[in-house]
Amino acid sequence: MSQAVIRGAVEVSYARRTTETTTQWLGRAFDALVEEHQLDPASIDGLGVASFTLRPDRCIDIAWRLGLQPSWLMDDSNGGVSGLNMLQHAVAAIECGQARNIVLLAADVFQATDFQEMAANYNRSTQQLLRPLGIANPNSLFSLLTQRHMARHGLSRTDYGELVIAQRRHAARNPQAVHRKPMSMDEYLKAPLVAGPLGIYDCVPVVAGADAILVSHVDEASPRDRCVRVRAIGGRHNFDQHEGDGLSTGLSQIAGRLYESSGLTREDIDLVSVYDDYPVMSLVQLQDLGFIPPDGLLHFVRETVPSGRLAFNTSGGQLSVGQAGAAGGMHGLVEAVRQLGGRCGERQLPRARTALVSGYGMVEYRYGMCANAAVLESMA
Amino acid sequence: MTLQITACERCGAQYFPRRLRCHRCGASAFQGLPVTAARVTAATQVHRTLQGCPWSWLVELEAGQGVRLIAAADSAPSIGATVRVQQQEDGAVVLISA
Repeated sequence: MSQAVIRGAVEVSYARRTTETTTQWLGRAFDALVEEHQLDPASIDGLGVASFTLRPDRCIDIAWRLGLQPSWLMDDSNGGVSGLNMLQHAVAAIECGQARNIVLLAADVFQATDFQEMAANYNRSTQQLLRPLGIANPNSLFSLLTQRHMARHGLSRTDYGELVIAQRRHAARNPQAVHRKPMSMDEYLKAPLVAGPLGIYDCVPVVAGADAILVSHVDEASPRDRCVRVRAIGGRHNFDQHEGDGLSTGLSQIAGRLYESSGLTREDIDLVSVYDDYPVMSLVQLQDLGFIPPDGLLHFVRETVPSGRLAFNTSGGQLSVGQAGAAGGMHGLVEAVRQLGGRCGERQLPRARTALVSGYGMVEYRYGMCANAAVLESMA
Repeated sequence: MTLQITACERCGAQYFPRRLRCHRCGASAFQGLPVTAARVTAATQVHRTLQGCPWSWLVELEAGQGVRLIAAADSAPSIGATVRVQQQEDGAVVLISA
């Protein structure tokens, strides 16, 4: 069993508007973690940072501003997989004895023009082939993907709406969510279209925000931390050489091994956090991870989702809470760790012993290339 | 101008955008392959466009041996239809209006 444990996870309430910088948001997440776990900052010997808007600063600049003297550093700009990617590296570092207490931070702050710039210059393919089109952006690309998903599985807009509405029900009990008002199907369907079939509620609200995780050697932890064990973690990126249809991810290749090495089965999992940049991708990840049988998609969206039988994206997900750039890659992980630690207040699940968290992202030309996942278990 | 996808010089595998190395045979030399027609696999009308943008339809196309392209159009194309395409100087792949 791994000697590395997740001791804590915090999210600073996301905000639609902010006058603070990305650096300041990272500092607030660090402070929140230190306060909740009564940490001595001098004990922190590892720091990882994920952000799109921190440049020209990097992890070391944040270490300096925080007064840390780390022996282990990591910068991660892999968007929706950055949280789990940093966790995967941090666990390995602690197991190898390279660090004892690693803080992983993620934050982003976008002004409207910053966001357009980031989207237009996301990578070379985007810059050279998508930006000149003027209309190609994540929303319109995932609209194309959603259309093909609908056609393949015989789904209608209401089926995706069920997911959005189910997540909104969770968000009503999350004081940190941007959208908290319960939503009816009528409201979902009548919302303005962004790029058909996607309406505004299928797209994440862009927010400013920050998240933080503390990963430690088990001997550093105290019972009051309510630690979480990482029973298995892994990723598979570019699994289809970007020649597929985008309707499956690298999770389809690693799910079996993840369950096997965790010693748990899918039926043992109490809650799931999948990376919900778009409802279609939640369904794709849930299917890749085995929560939806190959021929059971219609039953899942029409019966399982409305009944609430599967606890997924219990914070309300990014669709309700907002997407704070790279911090979105840590959002589902923070929610899962807090559920397992019994720290979710009004929305705390009655049973939260085990969780599965997945990450997805990094659109190259047509869809995301990266995917990773972790199986977590409460040690309390 | 004519859209060029790339083909591996050794095994002929087709790619777009171009790669550094052919993942099928390992070669790293590619040649341009002109494409003038492609089949529409999905299309969406983008409701908020930048001022002055001549296109409002984003289209996914399949060309050659299953190479997929993202292109722009000024009107709704039919799914499954074969359309004529070209690439502009600035890199944009666009449908040529009938």
